[in-house]
Amino acid sequence: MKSAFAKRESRSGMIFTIPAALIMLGLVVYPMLYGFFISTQKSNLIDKWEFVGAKYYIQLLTDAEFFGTLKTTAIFAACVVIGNLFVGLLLAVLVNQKIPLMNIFKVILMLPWLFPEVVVALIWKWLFSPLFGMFNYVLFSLNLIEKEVDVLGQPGTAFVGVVFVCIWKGYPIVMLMMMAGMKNIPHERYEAAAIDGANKWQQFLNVTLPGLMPVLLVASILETAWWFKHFTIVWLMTGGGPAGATELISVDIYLQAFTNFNFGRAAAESVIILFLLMVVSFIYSRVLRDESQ
Amino acid sequence: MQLTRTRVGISRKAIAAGIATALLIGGIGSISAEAATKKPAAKVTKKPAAKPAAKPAGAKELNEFLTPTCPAKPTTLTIASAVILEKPGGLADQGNADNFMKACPNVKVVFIGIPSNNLPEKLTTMAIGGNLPDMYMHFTSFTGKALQMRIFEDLIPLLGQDYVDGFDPLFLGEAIQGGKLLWAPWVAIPMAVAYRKDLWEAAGIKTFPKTWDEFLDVAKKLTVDTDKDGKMDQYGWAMVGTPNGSGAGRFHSVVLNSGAYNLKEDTNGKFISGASLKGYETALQLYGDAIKAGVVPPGHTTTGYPEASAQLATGKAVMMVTGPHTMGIAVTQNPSLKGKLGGFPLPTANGTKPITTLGQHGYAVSRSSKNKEVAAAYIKFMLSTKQILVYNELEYRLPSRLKAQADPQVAGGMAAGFVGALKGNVWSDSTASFLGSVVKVDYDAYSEMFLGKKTAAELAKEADVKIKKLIADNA
Repeated sequence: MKSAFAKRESRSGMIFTIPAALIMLGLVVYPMLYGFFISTQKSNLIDKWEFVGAKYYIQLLTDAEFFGTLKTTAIFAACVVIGNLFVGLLLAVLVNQKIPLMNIFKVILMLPWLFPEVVVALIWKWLFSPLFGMFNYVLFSLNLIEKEVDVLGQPGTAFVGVVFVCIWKGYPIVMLMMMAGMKNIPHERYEAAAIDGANKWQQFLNVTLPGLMPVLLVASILETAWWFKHFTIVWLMTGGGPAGATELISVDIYLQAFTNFNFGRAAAESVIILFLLMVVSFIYSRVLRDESQ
Repeated sequence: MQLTRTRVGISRKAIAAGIATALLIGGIGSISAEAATKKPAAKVTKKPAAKPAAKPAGAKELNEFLTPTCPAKPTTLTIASAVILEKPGGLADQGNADNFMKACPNVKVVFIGIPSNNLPEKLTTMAIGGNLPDMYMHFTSFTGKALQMRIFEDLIPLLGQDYVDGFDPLFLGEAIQGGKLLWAPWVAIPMAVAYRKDLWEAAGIKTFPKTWDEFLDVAKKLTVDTDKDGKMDQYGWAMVGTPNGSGAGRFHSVVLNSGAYNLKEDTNGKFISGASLKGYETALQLYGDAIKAGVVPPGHTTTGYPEASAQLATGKAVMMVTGPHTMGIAVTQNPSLKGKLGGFPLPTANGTKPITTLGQHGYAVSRSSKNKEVAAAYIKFMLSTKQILVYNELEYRLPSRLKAQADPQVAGGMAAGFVGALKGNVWSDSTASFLGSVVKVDYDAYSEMFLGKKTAAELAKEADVKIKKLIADNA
């Protein structure tokens, strides 16, 4: 039997939790439930609401184009996340060295993250322009091409182009997280490894990487969720083209809602993406947790 | 959170310098982004009709509406406008507001600038959020959505039937839906071919092309290496090839003048696809042939409306499928072009009577507005002959009011060819709420044509299937 004090303490705990719980309900749970509700409606979101049940889910799950878009999105997200983790980790290791003026390099390397995505997209769109862009100018100057290369005009190069720009924009935050993670690895471990005769590469593999696993887990989940839903840079650089080569799920959701005026189907796509990302996050946490153990 | 507390070794001064640099460049980029706003899609639909001869409206109009009836108490009139962001058209929009505020000192006009390509989406969001301003700019491509959301005030009772009769009936044909006037038409941009007269004459071309084959031949003649350095530096056709409304609108004008359409309503009010008609394939083939022939400047897939207008202004290209407003923009970029630009009707597949689209826009009054009377007074003020001709002078857009149309400034000079295009047939847009998705089918089709992996016939067939699916899904 609980004492009166324990009961009172338990009640106090619950009372103190209520404000946070209400905020969570209002800002997280309600929008998600509302999104699910919209996915079951044919609606203009103002004064027309018609229950259609799972119609949009069935439409989507039997639509080959939707799965094509999902595949494009998955490849895009995988390329960008891997690229960000690789570049971010590499640069974090480099700037972690004791080299003069390294702070200046750190600031320069952080700059892409500070630019708004709209600015990044427009800058690179112009750099890739076959008529006025620096990219073609450099290739011409080096006699590497004889005819303008329309990077964003061909499906293969357009996909590579947007992935490159997204990595350029996204690696600094990974680099920052890795740098923070490295600071948390006790120096004694490196000393012990050195005494055991480990060289720099072995120290990186056996001390740095395992020490960074918790950061890698967080970075991987955040990055995957972020780039799977990414919209701005791709929309502004290619609009999902050419010929659908860069049409991501976020672009499709936007088009469904605001071009096709089909909010129900757009919401259904969003709900499916939510579940997909929850599954991906779960897999990440299992795989990376096991490895770290 | 341990990670966020960890110091990473960047000094505060260095971070501050980085942020300042980023903000500075970000600011410049934002300005560039704003300047890069594009025009909306040209519209689609049925109802061919000959433009009636201009007839003078009531002579009292000029004086009556320049002295509006002002509200007794201070009023703020909010207006969502795309034109306010554009150059030089924004000067006309701002000028209307400034002059109205002078006439009614207790009225404050506040603009909400929205790029025209984003206007339908922004208005939809505002309507859903219950934040629509008192007035909003209406492009005909938004009609289907406006009808679905029922966000407009019927302007016939608000403006009065006598006043409404002063609009060109061609404009009203699109603006009146179900007996209600959805918006007050302001100006139109009849689609035709804009061309550089100086470069045209330099090439020794005497006549305007009547068919698309002739158009391609002329484009080839205009594609030249002027400085003989082995690289082309002047191209025949400033093609807008971006996958968006600007590109699709122009492509659809070519489709219309090849004997097809993307979507229309039949006599029973049912939507039907026109992509299975031979003309759709012909239009795609023309786009493919033009790229193969090298008459379009490189980078056509990323050449949007601003870039194509710049090509015309700088002489990088000589012809462009567009409306008269492009001349205003080109002259703003290159003032020496005044008098050196012109227009001619769109060619057709077999030299028949061309079809143009009005591409009109105007202002609607929100159903939720609390300042409807002030909005009506503002509309009448801005559509007075004096005010509307300012916009026409800046961008050569065709005024909606019959009285203004009768002014010699409107139909003469560089705009003559565009006004002349209205002597052919005029297509209005469909009111399908999913029209935007049909437009996407169009730009997907020509984007794939550029790649050259599928034939025009295959792509036209695919487009037909997609449009029919959209019709079925949205039935």
